[in-house]
Amino acid sequence: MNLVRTFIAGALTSLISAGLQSTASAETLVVCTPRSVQNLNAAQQWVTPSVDVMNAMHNRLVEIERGGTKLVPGLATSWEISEDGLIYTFHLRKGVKWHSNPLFTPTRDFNADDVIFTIDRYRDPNHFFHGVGVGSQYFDYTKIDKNIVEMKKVDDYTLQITLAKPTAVFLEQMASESVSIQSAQYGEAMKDAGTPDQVDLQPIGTGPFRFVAFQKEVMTRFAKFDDYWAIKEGDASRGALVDDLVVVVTPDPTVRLAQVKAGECNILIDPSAADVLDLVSTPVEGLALATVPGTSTGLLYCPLLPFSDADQRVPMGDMKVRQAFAHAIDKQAIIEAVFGGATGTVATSFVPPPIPGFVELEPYSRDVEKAKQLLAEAGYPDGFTIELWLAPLNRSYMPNSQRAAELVQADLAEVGVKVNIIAMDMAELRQKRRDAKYAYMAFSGLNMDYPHANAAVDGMFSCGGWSTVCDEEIERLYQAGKVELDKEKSADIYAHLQKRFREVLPVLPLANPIEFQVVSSNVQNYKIHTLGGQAFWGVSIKP
Amino acid sequence: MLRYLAGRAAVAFFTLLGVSLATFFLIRLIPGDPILLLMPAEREISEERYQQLIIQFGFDRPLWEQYFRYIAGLFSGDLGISAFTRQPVLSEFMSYFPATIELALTATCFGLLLGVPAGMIAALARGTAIDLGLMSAALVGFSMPVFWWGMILITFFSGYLGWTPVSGRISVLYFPTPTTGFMLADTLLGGDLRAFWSALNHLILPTVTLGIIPLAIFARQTRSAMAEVLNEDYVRTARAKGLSEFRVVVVHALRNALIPVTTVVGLTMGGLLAGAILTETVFAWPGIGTWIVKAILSRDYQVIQGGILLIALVLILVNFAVDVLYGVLDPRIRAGGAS
Repeated sequence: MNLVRTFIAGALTSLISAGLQSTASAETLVVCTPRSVQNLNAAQQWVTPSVDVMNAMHNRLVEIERGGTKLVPGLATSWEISEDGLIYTFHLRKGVKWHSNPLFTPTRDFNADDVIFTIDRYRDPNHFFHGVGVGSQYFDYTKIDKNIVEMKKVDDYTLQITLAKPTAVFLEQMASESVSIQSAQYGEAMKDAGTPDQVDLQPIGTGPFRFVAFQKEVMTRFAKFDDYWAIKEGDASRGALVDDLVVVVTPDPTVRLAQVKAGECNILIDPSAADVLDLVSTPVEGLALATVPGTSTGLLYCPLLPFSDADQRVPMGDMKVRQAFAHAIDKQAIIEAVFGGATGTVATSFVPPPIPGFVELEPYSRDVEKAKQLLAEAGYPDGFTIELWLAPLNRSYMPNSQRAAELVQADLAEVGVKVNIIAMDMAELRQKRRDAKYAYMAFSGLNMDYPHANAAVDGMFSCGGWSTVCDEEIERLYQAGKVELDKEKSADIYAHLQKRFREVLPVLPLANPIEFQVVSSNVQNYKIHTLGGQAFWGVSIKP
Repeated sequence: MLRYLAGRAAVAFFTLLGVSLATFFLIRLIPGDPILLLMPAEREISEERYQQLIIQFGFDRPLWEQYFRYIAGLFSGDLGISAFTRQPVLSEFMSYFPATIELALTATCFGLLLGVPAGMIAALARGTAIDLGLMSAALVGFSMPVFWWGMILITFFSGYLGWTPVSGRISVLYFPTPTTGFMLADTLLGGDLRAFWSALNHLILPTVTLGIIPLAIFARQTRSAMAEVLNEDYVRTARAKGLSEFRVVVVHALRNALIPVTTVVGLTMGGLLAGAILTETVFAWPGIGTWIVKAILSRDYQVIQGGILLIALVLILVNFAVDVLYGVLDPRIRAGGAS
């Protein structure tokens, strides 16, 4: 009997101590995030935490300063651009080690072959790895693949890239996580082993953390990479300062908050607007709110399509109708109701405020009479009926699309436009959008992939682009901006572009998010990074 | 017995064939295109890329051909690969399924350990305040939404008291080698007792949350079966022979009362294996419920087809095990089956 008692007492003691031990340790940085990485191919990643994961593992030739928009050297220590803007000569960093894994141990450092392998994988349809995975949408829409006409290895550490035409944003485009440099030697080894998929399933990189394990919808685990080049160059602050990094997926925001309160997470990504407001009004000891203006724009998308086969009028084809909508929709009310008045601001441009080249413009005032007048001038004095296709977005630029839809519906009803809200899941919405023949509206957003206003225009507002509005002046400015290498002239072009955009309204900008993250107060030197993935290097935990 | 087993195997085969057929075609009836979801919501896929992927995934072939290729793959043990993760479906299933089994087993044990005695007590104390109290509690347990239960337990035990972890299978401090996939077993095999306690601790709230409804069902089923059995002639005979009340209730009455309970346990266990999605969501529990639902939302056809087929296979096996257990509990059924 005594033995049983001793066992029970021991078990309970261990249980309690194990419970207490379950808080994150000084050596493990735990990040709780709402969405899972889909896979580990860098070129296919778009949303956090996918890009966070890529940022931890990989480097690019050029990188974006942590928490900012400035370009800084990555695997290229410096670069020169020819007078005509066509030839970029990159001087590559020496002594950069690759991670190893149970399948592969590298025998050489990073060099120009790796850059060529990475880009050719997506550029050259005959490349062995071109068909491994599903390609890169980033390469597709930026057209980097078509723009690069030649890559010349001058020597192991000098690479010349020749472009088809001068491109003002080429360096910025190369700083995206989608152009994370992959190992040519690993690719060859996996190809020879007959398991090419492994380059994406068990990736290696040159980044501050090496990949350890991944389970979709559960977590991604990394360990500190001791041979990281920045540490060896004496800049320990640019390397991993914790032993382990674990990105844990917890879809429910309430549970995520409970996790960070219980010490199970050090950093909480995407708290709900309600939780942010609660934490602002009632601070919790041991937790701090980190915040920065977001680099995305929530918008209402209204493609130019006819009412029906019988009625070939295109309601959104008239600029006045789009302007009427801009006057009718109370964007401040959306900020109050959908963003809790704190996690977003009214958007006036398609360019988010932190992006270089953003111009502060006068927002469309809420003016029902003006909206009615514009609709009448466009030939719709009695308004019309249109569908609003609604799928849960759960992005920081549109945290509650259902509520936003109800507000838009009520606002447009005041000017005689009847909005039928049609709810569906994202898969159905994507298919309906692709197959759409008749007029509809939907919420969407613009995420900046690199720190330049052009990132929002590429493939979006140019003629033949996503918005379906083709405006000659926008197209002229877009084409001029793409090749203008002079920064002042470029800023002027994009300022004009934004003013023209405000008038033409290819889409209706609604809100710019303010990004919030909940961070344990023992986390040091963490900065929210809104352009691409979070950077967890240089982040430490105070014991 | 061999004929019986062969008959069961044939039924299982045609059931699985039916499941594969229904899943394959039904999922394609739902609007949505997996290829579009491979790309970000904010950008439309280029037509060139779309056509390339249509061919790469074999979606350009007629549906019947796609189905027969799928079935041919099944016979060679190939359930396909996920369009999103590029991992084989079977390997993904095996990485999620142990978490579900572990939780379903502990929840079933929790339900049985509390539900059967509660049902017995209620049956023995029929019509009293104890009976009313136990059955009312069972009704409350049955009626409360799982999601709500989970949140309440987290708020109180994890948030307020700080006794239990909020979510996950084990503290991130521990990373046991996945030998069996069962966290309790793997931590023990690794010889790390603290990791074992962490895993056990992480199981408590999900087990209680998932086990509450089975507990209520088992309690009500046991009460009703016991009440019926206690009125049987052989129970009166046992009492008349002067057997102790304990022996009468446990050996004679309970054993017979457990036959209908066993059916319910089998069905409930099947439900728990396939339908613990809410509990898994609340506790970020990496089980097959979450896996399948995410696959449906992203129209990951191979995962949906393969995953549902494997779940069906498991349910068939569970029901088969229940049938065998019938035989153990009631020799009359065994004799009937064998004949």
